[in-house]
Amino acid sequence: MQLSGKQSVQANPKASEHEVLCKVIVVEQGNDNLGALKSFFDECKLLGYRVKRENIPSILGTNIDLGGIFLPEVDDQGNSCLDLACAVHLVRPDLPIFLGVKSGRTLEDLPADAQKAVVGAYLHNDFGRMKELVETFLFSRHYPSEFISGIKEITSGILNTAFKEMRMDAEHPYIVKDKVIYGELFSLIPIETNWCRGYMMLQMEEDKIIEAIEAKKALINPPEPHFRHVNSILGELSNMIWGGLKNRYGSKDSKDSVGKVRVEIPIIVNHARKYISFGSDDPQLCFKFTLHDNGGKTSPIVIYQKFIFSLDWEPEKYAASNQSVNELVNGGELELF
Amino acid sequence: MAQVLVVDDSEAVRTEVSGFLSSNGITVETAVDGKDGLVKIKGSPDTKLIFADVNMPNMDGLTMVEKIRSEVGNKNVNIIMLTTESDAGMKERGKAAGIKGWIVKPFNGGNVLETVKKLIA
Repeated sequence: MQLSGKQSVQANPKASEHEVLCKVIVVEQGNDNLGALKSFFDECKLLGYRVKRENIPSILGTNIDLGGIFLPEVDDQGNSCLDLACAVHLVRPDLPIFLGVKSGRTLEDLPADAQKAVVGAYLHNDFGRMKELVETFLFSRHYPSEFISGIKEITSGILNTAFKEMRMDAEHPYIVKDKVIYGELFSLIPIETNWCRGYMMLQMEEDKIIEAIEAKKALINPPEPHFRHVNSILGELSNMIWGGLKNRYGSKDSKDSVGKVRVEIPIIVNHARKYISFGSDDPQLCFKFTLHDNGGKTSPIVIYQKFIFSLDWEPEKYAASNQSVNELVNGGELELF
Repeated sequence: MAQVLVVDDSEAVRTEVSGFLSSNGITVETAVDGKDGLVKIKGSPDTKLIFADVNMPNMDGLTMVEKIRSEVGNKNVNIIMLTTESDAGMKERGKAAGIKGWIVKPFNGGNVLETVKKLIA
């Protein structure tokens, strides 16, 4: 089951184009405080999706870019949701579960397995506590808005060059706690600046790219497209996007790294479970681009772009280096010497 | 003998650039990295122009250019770097090795066709 706009508690129309949002699931608890909940979601930059508890497994099965789940301890019918919390934690341990408890109850009052499954409890309508949980477990990092807009601008420009006669939709950037891989193939390229270090991951589906190649809408037009051509396009897209970011924000200054321990963390990939871990529970910064064929003949191409700053994250240094942020380099122009 | 040698580890770029040049009547050979490029230029010393990437496995593009000038002794072939890099230091290194120009990817054939024709004339 895909989350649709109709289920959205709030599409967060007040969020500016480059504000980072987060998608969360809210198990239905009646409509008595829906207005307050909407305001809370607006304020906290959350995209909330109200779902029935019985739909949770199917939603988790098809949605890979979630930030967390708001679950009541007891639903409208008086049924406990603690088993559900444990079941969700078992299949998606990376998703933080926030549990709404009745007055007078705390986490310590819950059974041990439920305590392990949820990251925090809040009282019904205690928006102060809910905000605290959201800031601790979801928006634990501040992403400079100029950096966000730069990523979007550079990536959009390159995708528009690589895929012809296609209209592009770019969603609001959002953070993801899930570690699930979308599509069949992805690329990873190290990202390294003076203030952040990690990886950029591009994820896509092979058959959609093959379709675009066959329709002569892709970067290359081989007579018999096959998966290696898709790999090659993905590799070059990653290369150009990282090149654009490096040109704009600069790469690591070697003088700055003198005497600093260079951290490396193994990346774990579980193919059977479509799971990837970068060794950190920090949220991933995600951009989703969808390319639509102007002629409507080929399937839309969905590209997930994720940034995982698992090795270094010092945004306070960004402000200092921001003054020297370079203008966007004009790609494709020949500079003669 | 091909008029242009395209050196890039990305098959997509090799296909894109060589496809564009071929469709404009220019003969093209390709190489997959700097090492391969060096071998190809040794075998075809009369090649007029090289498009070379910078970041490639085995041997980077700037090292290849320096070796073409020093080890191979080919001072005549025109070289244009086609790369995601735009670092001034890298450009200076390229200039010192006698490159003719620098293009930051993506490749836009229409922007360079006239220059290419002049360089291979």
